[in-house]
Amino acid sequence: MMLPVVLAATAISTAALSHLASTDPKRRRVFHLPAPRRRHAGAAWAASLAPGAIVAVVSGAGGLFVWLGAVSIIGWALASARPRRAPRIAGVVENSDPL
Amino acid sequence: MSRLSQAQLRRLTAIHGWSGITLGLLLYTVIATGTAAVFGGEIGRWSAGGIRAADPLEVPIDARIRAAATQVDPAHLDDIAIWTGEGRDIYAFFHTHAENPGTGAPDDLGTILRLDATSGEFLERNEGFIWDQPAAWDGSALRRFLVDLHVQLYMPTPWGLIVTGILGLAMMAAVISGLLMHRHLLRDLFVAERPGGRLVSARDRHVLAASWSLPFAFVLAFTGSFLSFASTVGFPLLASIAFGGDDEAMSAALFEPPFAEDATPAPLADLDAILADSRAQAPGPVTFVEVARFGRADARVHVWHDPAAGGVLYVTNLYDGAAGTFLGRQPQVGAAPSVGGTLYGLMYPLHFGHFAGIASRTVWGALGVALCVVTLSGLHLWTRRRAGAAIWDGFARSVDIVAWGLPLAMLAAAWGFLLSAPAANPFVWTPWSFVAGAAAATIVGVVAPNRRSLLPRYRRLLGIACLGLPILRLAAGGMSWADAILHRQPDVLTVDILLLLAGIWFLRRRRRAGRLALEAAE
Repeated sequence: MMLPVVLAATAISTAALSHLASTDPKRRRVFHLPAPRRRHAGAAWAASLAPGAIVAVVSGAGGLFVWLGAVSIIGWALASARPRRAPRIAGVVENSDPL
Repeated sequence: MSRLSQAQLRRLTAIHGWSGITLGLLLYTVIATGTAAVFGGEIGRWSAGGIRAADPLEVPIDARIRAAATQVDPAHLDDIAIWTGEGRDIYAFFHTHAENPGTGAPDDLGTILRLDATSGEFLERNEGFIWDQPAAWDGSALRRFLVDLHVQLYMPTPWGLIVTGILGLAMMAAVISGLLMHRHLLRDLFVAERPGGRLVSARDRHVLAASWSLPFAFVLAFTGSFLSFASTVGFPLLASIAFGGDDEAMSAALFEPPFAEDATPAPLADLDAILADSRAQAPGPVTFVEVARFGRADARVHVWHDPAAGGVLYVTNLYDGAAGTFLGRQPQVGAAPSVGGTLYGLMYPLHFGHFAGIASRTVWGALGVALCVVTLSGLHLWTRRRAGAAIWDGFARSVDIVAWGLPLAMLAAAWGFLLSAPAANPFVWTPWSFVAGAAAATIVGVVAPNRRSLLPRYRRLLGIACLGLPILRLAAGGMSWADAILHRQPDVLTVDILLLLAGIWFLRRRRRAGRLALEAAE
């Protein structure tokens, strides 16, 4: 029971975080994209965090920690991906940075 | 986010930066090896595992333990510790307590037998102070080496633990100072690394990884530091202050419920019945069994379980060894449940990430990767800000060498283990192979004409090292893929496939890096 609940909750949080990332004003400004029409940030944050409460009730503390860790990693991955329509800057060459 | 004066901000930046610079590379080593250690079970099964239909503690072991007890010195029958090996084998450590002349401290002295839990065949026997002989109690020298490197940087006890404890404190300082320094944590939470390889790109990369992993960075640093200092500072101090320096009295008070001493000989109750009952009381898998005062009327059996689904704390059930009756669930610390005991019990699962099987281990492994990125990107940011100064350019190259050289050396250790396991002592050759891998990585890094040329070289080496490991494992007599599929041994197959995928990824990325460099040159 624990894993399906955690997976479902993580999927919902991922969708909400994805919306928050794609409509984030600073992110769009930095990548020269037009400002989003409507963001509904409060609702999106609630949608991303509320599954955690459900996980805590249904799957216990173990499920909550797994969900929290998964959301942290997925949030990082979503935020790290550059917007698809961002204009490319010429002359970008991979250097030897370890990351 | 925070309201700090410029002077306070400068001081915090200095603490954050200099603590990172002075300890960052060691911290990266501890985090990277810790990330591997999270999968210690899988690494052990992959490197040294045999086919098994069920966990060896899930099959009847009572007759095996009784037969083994007749094979050891009666002086070693005080206590028995039982745990699983990498295949169908279990370890049964019959021991008493004596002063170890090597350390001058109380230690476990006895006979350890490795036996096939299914057939009862004796596979291996060792005697003495066995905690000094890892080969006697761990089937995988590779897993043991990686864990030792993580826990105490392969340094002697207690110095290695003290160093890793200090590293944990430094990491906590970096987390807290980073949190206070970063004024726009929420505003920058979705800002991807800006293109162009500029200074701001390096900052974006560091801030993004650090922001998302912040709570777990603190938890892992705190729990890691606690575990390092508990055995080196905390418990010795407690024994000295509260128990007059008597370690055994402290252990008994903290971890063993009171009992009425009765040395009357009495046979041990059916161990299989005790384990079956314990499974009914706690659904998590049995991981460890201890029989205290074997053969006496006051014998006690402790059965350790992984947490059940949804739980975090490990469970220990206590039984009357002679009667076989359930005496209750043992608190984490002391004779009764307490907040302090629960907090103490949380330290292990929250650090190891073992509490929810492969799901929590995968998440903890990914968090380890995130923390590696935070550490390295922080070091990179520092050196980028000082680019042009010879000393910092040299340090930047050192960061690259360690960043790529450490995984390469860990893979070299795996090569050394697999090459030496059939005919030599892998507990000797695994660490030496790590040293050889680290030396090779350092030479590659030092002779490269510039930092830009390092990346394709390291990726080529990592790709070859990853691709070769499954082949080498099979050539060294490891479990075949056909057997792994037929007998449902997912660990071996999964690690092999991940290594092959990683190897292909490294080699493909190397070609891409070379192509981009060529385009730039044109």
